[in-house]
Amino acid sequence: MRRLGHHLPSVALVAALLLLPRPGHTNGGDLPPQILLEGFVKPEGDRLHLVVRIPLILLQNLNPPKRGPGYLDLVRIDKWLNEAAAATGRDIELFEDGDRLVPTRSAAQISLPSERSFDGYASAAAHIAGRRLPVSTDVFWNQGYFDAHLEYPIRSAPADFAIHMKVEPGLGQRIKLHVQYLPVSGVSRTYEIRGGSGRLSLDPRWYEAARMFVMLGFGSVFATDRLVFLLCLVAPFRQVWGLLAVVMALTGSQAMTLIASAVGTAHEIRWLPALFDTCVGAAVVLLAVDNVVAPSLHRRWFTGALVGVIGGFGLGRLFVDERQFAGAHTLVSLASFNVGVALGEAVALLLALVALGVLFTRVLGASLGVVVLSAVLGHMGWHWMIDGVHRLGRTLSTGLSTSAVASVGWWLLMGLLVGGAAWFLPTPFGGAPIPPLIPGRARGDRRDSD
Amino acid sequence: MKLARYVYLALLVIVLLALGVWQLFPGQADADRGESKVPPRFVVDPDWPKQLPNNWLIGQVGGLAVDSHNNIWIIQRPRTLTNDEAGAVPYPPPYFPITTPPTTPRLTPRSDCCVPAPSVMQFDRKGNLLRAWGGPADTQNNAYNATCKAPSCQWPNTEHGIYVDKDDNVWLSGNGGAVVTATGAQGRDDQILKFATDGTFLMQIGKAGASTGNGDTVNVRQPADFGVDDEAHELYVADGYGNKRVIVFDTKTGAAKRYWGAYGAPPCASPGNTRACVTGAYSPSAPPDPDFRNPVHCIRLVADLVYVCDRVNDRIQVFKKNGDFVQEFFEKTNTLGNGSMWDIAPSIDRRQTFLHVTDGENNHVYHMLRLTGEIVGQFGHNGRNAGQFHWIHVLDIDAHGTIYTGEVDTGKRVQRFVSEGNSPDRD
Repeated sequence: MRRLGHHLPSVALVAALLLLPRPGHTNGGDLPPQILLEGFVKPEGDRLHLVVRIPLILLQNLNPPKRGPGYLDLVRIDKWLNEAAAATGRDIELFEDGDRLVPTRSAAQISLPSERSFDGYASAAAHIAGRRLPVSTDVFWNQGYFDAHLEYPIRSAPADFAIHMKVEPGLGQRIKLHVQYLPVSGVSRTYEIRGGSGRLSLDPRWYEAARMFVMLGFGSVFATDRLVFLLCLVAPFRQVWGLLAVVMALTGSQAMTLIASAVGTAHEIRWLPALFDTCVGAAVVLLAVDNVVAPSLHRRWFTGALVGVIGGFGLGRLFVDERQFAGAHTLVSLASFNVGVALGEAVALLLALVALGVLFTRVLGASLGVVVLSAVLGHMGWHWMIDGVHRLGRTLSTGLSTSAVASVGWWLLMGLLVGGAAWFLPTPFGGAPIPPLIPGRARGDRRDSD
Repeated sequence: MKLARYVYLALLVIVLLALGVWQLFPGQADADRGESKVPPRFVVDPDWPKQLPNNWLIGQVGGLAVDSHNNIWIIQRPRTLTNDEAGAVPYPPPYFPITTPPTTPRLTPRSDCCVPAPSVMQFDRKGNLLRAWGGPADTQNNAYNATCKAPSCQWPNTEHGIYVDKDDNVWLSGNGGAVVTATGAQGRDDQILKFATDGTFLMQIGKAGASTGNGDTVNVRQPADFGVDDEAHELYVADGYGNKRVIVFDTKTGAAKRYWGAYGAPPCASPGNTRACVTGAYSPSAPPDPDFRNPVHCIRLVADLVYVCDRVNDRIQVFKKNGDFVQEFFEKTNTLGNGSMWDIAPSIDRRQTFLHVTDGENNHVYHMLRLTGEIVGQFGHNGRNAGQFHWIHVLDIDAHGTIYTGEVDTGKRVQRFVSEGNSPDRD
C-alpha cells in the first residue's frame, strides 16, 4: 500500500490526462456548424404522423440524381425520395409505450430553401401531399430541403410516445431537431432535440420528468469550477456533519435563486455568468488563504451561501434551457432538479472527503496536504477570478439595469441571512480544523470566546 | 455579542423587505425593456472573426451580406494586397493588373505571411471560416474552378457586391474597369454572377465590357449592390458605378424586367430621357440633382419599399417596387468627396424602426429613423482601432441584431458589433 501511495500522484496525473477532453472535429468540410431539422409528430386515430424537413446537405451520402452544374434531376428523383424516406424512418425512431414503431406509408417532396410551409403541421402536410416542384426547377443539390411525411400504425392515440433522433450521430449537438408534438388532447409541445440526446418522451409522465431532472441536477454539480470550490471549502476539515451543513447551506441558497431564476427572468441577466466566474474564483482564493491561516467552519457558511446564491442563477438558466422536457410537470421537474443538485452536492462532498483522506494519509500528510492543495487550487482560482473580472467589466461596460442589480442584491442579502444562521447552530456543527503547519496560527471556531 | 448578532439579522431583514417592496413597483423591472425610439447600443467584438487558415489575408472588403441562416458572407479583393501584405508569395501574383510602370517582380517570399485569400468567404457568427472560394486567388475549391470559366463565367476585375438570397444562391458583382494581367485581359465589370453556396457557377447576367449605357437591358455597368424579392423572384440591382439607375432582373432567367433613375424617372442618357448625365462635382448649395450620381451604391428591400443609396448626393431615395418614387432623405449634406450614404441595413424589430447606414467618408454608422430619415444615433470614428473605421464600405445585420461591417481603401477588414439593450444576443 505504501508503494501504491508513493505512485498515486503519478497515477492520478496520468488518469487526469486521459480524462482530458480531446479536441473535437473542426467545423470544416461542407457541413455548417449548426444543422436544423424541423418536424411535427401527431397521433390521429390509429396512426401516428411524422412530418419532417431535413436539409439536403445532410443527405448527400445518399447520392441524389443530378443534372447540369449540380441541380437535382427532378425527373429521376422518385426512387431517391423513397430511399431518403426509408432512411428518415430509420434515423428518427418513434416509440409507443416503449415499443419501436415502423412506418408503413410515406410521401416525400423536394423544396426550395425559401419554402415556408413548415410554420404549421397542416400546411407542412399539405405541402408534401401537394404538387411537386416543376421538373425544370433549379434546386442545387445542397441548398434545398427533403420533406417527408411518414405514417405509423399505433394501438392508441393517447399512448406514451417517445422519439429518438439518430440522424448523423457523429455530428453530435451540431444537429438539432425542432419538433412539435400535437397530442389528441391537451396542449402541443415544442422540443429542441440535440443530437445524442437519446430517447425522449414527447409527453412525459411525472415520474419520467422527475427522473430526468434529478439526473440533470445531479450531473450539473460536477462541473470543474464547482468541484474546485468544494475541495477548497472542505480541505482543512474532517467534520462530516459540520461540512454537510455548510454544503446544505450552499445548496439551500442555490435553490432559492435557482427557483427564482427558473420562474422569473433573472436567467436573462447577461452579466451573471461573468459574476459567477469572478465570485467562484475569488471565493477559492479567499478559502485557500483561509485554509492556511485560520480556517473557520462558521465563516464558510457565509462563503458557501453567497456562492450558492450566484451559482443558483446559473443552474436556473440550465433548468430553463431544459424545461421543455418537463412536459406538463414543471413544478415536479423543478423540485426534482433541486433534489438532484442536493444529492449531487452530498455525493460530491463524500467523494471529496474520501479523496482528501487518501491524499492526506497516503501522500502528503494532513497539514502539508492542506497547504499544497490550497496553493494549487488558489492559483487556479486566481486565474478564474482575473478572467472573470475582465469578462464582467466588459459586460458591465455595455449597460447595467438597475432592476437587475437590485434583484441580484436582494438575493445576495438573502444569502447573508442564510450565512448568519451559522451563529445560531449548536456546537456539533462547528469544530476545529486540521492543525496548521505552523503551530499557534489556527484559531478554529472558538465559539465560547466571543 | 449576542445582541450584535440579532441587530445584524434585524438589519438584514429590514433591507430585504425594503428591496422587496421596491421591486413591486410597476414598471421598475421593465424599465429597460419598453419600446423605445432610442436605437440599441453596439459594442465591437474584437475577437471576430478568428484568424484565417492557410496563411490567408484579405484585401479590401467590397461587399458583405448575412444569409438566412445567420452566416456572414464577404466578397473581398485579393488584388488590393500590397507587396508586404502578400509577403509569402511571389509578387505581384500573375493575376494582378499590370501597372504602369510595371512593378519590379519579387520571385521569392519576403516574409512568413501572407497569401491572398479567395474572394468569397463565409463565416459563422462565432467567427469560424466556413467556406472560401472564387476569384483568381482560389487555388483549391473544386466546384468553383471546375465551373467558372470564361467566357460564360467572367470573374469581376474588382470585386464589389454580394447578396445571398433565400434559396441560398450567391449573387456577385464588380465595379472594375478593363484590366490587363500577365494571364490575359478582360473588359469592364458589366456582368452579374450567380453561384451555389459551394462555388458552383450557375448563371451570368451581362458580359464584361459590353454595356452600352443606361438603356441597356442585357448588360449592367459596374453594378454595386443587390437585393432579391424572393417571392417575386426578382433581383434588384444598384447599377452602379457606370450607370445611374436601378434595374430589376428575373432571378431564374436573367431577363431584365424594368429600370428607373432618380425620382423614378427614366435614367439620364437613356431612351426615355435624352438629358446628359451630370458630370460636375456635387455642391451642397446646388438644387437636388435630378439624376443619381456615381455611384448608385446600395439597394435594400425593406417593408415592400426599395431604399437606394445615392452616395455622392448624400441622400437615400425610396421607391415602390414598381419604381414609383416615394420620398428621399438628405443626410450630412456638407459631405463632399465620396459622399455620406454608402450602405443600409434595417433594424430587426418588427417595425424595422431604424436604418443602420454606413458613411465611409465621415466613417460612422448612423442610426436613422426609417420613416422620417432623422439620424438619432451613431457609432464609430475614423481610426484604426477596434470599433473605428477607415472607409467603412458595407454593413449588414443578422437576426440577433448583430451588425457586421467591411472596410475598403487601406481598411481591409471586417468587424462585428454586438447589440446591447433592445436586442438581446444570447449565443
